[in-house]
Amino acid sequence: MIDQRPFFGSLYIDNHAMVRQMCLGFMKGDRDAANDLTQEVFISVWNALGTFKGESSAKTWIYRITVNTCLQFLRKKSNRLNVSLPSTFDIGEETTDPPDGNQALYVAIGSLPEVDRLIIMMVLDELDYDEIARVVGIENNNLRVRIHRIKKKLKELLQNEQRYQ
Amino acid sequence: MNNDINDMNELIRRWKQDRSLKPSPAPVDDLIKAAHEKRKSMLSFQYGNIIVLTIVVFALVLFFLYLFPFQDTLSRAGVGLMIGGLLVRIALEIQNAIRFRKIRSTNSALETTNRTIAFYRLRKVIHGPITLTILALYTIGLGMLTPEFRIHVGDTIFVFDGLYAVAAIILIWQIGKGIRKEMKDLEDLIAIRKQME
Repeated sequence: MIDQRPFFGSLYIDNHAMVRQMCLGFMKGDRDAANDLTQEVFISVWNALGTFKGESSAKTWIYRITVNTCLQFLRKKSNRLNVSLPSTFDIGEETTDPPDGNQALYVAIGSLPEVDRLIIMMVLDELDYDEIARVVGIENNNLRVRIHRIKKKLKELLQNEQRYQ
Repeated sequence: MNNDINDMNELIRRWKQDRSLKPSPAPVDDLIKAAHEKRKSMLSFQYGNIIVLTIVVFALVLFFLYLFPFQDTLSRAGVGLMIGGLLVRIALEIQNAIRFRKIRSTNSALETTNRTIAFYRLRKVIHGPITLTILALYTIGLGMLTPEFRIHVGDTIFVFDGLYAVAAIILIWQIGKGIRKEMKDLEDLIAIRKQME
């Protein structure tokens, strides 16, 4: 049997920052919740590793898992399967604190409906629209219209945020 | 238009600038350990009910075959109702476990949500009307055994029946609680799917 640890280790290193940032946006900038969610994503990645056939890039594959795990996380939180990480578990050292201005961005993203949050974060990650459409499972044309609306809404939210500061 | 593009480029710049977390490879083994634990929990979640119900059926079959082989047709029909109901429930639990296995986080969000909704819908039916029907059949079956049982154990049978009634009430209360929780999950999922439409 092939040892999947090295492959998983490289996926973790290459994608951890991206996943964690999406989780942070999804959880409205709440770092503890984002760390929990990031762990959930990589647990799902490990458990699904045997199904990765390389038909899509590893990155797109991880986006799918991240999006699905985020959407299921809030529901599961109240009915969590009894799995806890070891108390010594630490997902890594944060080398610098995010600039304060970005907290407003996370809060604004967190104010959007769940699916819109995930879509706009993939846009900010500069993922191709075709890929985003495949990750979410909606038509490309619908996605473009939707992204236009989300950008507009996000801009309004950020402007409101600035106005009240 | 240019302003919009500039705003978006600025947001992308800020977004990417914030990607400052440097993960150390050390916790990978802990993650894998947690993943194994989660897989075990998922398996017991999927197959726990099936295993418990199967053990109950075996226990009932052994009891009725070797310890207390009923002679009356009424009693035998009662045994049939009790065991038959449980077998139907086991079959439905297996079908639901198959649906659960089809929920993959590697599919698109829409497909995963649709499959999760299908899983919860079947679960709602199994844990609601079907379980209540099976409980009713089980109760009727037990009632049909009572006359023949009474010949052998006397009025003690009414103590057993009383205990059974208490257990059934607790079970119905638990079912109600479980269904309310699952209805909430289902509503949340349907709301998420609406966001994708």
